[in-house]
Amino acid sequence: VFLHTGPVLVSSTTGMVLQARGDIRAAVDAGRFTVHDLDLDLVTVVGTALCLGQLLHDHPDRDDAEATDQIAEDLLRMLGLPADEARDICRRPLPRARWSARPRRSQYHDMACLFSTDRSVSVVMQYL
Amino acid sequence: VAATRSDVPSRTERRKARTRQKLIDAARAFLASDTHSTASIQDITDAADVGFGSFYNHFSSKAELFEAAVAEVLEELGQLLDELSSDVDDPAVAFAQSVRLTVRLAVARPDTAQVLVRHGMAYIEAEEGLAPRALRDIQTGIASGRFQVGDPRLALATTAGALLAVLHVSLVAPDTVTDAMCDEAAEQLLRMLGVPLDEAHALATGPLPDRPAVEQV
Repeated sequence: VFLHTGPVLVSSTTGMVLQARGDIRAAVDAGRFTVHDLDLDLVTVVGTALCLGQLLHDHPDRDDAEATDQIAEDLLRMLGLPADEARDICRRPLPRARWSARPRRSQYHDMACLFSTDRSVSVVMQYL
Repeated sequence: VAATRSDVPSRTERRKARTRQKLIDAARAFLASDTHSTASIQDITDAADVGFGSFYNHFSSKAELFEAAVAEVLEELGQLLDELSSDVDDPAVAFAQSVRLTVRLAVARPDTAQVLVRHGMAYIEAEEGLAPRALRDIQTGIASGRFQVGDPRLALATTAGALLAVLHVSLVAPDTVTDAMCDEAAEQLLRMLGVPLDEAHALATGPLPDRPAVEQV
């Protein structure tokens, strides 16, 4: 399985993790996030996406977008945003992609969906 | 007492259970001494003092045995963490304490951490061990208004994901995972559960109960 999905996963994960790191750093620099250890936060965010992926895989009846929004809100609190602000941000409609009639999904949602197809912690985490 | 016909199956069952337990005990010793990856099935049956052939009556592979051994470690650790927080009223304190001790123990036992990282997802839905206890603590915290999460099962998945990720880092870069980082992980999770920043910091850095007892698990 890894032979087939591995390379795709590697390039997508590396890209997403790099982008997540950049986003967290930018928010810290802007005074939005309060974090002590950016690397640990990044590890946590990716770890939660992995377990969310597993959960969505094991429970296909769950609404993946709703679960992702909920965890995104929890993660924003973890990164230091006040609870009401975190809730407000995660309930806003996502921007619409130019090429699609459907609302764009969050980057975190993409990560969780990707991880729901390959759930090996070790494989994903080594690209952190 | 002479064996009656109805005694026979239960005696066989008891003997089977004893053999299985001997294998698990041996596996736990290999895990604790960090030699599980190099141990052969012969090494394990020798250490357990059971016949080589009996291994496959109980487990289909070495990996399956070590998964069972880790499940048992988690259940014992869970029971101990329950005892250590039995006089704690605040679910946030109980949760923080359990996270801090669990990560420390797993970091100190790379072989156990390795099994957890490889098969960790399987333990999240287990009916024994740490997952049901973490879920219980999260639910208690929500009920008492201490935690503000919408869905306890999602919070459990987040907690497990964060901890497995930290354990992964402890395996690939052991020097980076200090006690302070274990506490930091607990602090992040408390924040995630809706505990205000300053309180989360205080809870995750306060004194810890009986760590030596945890190290005995």
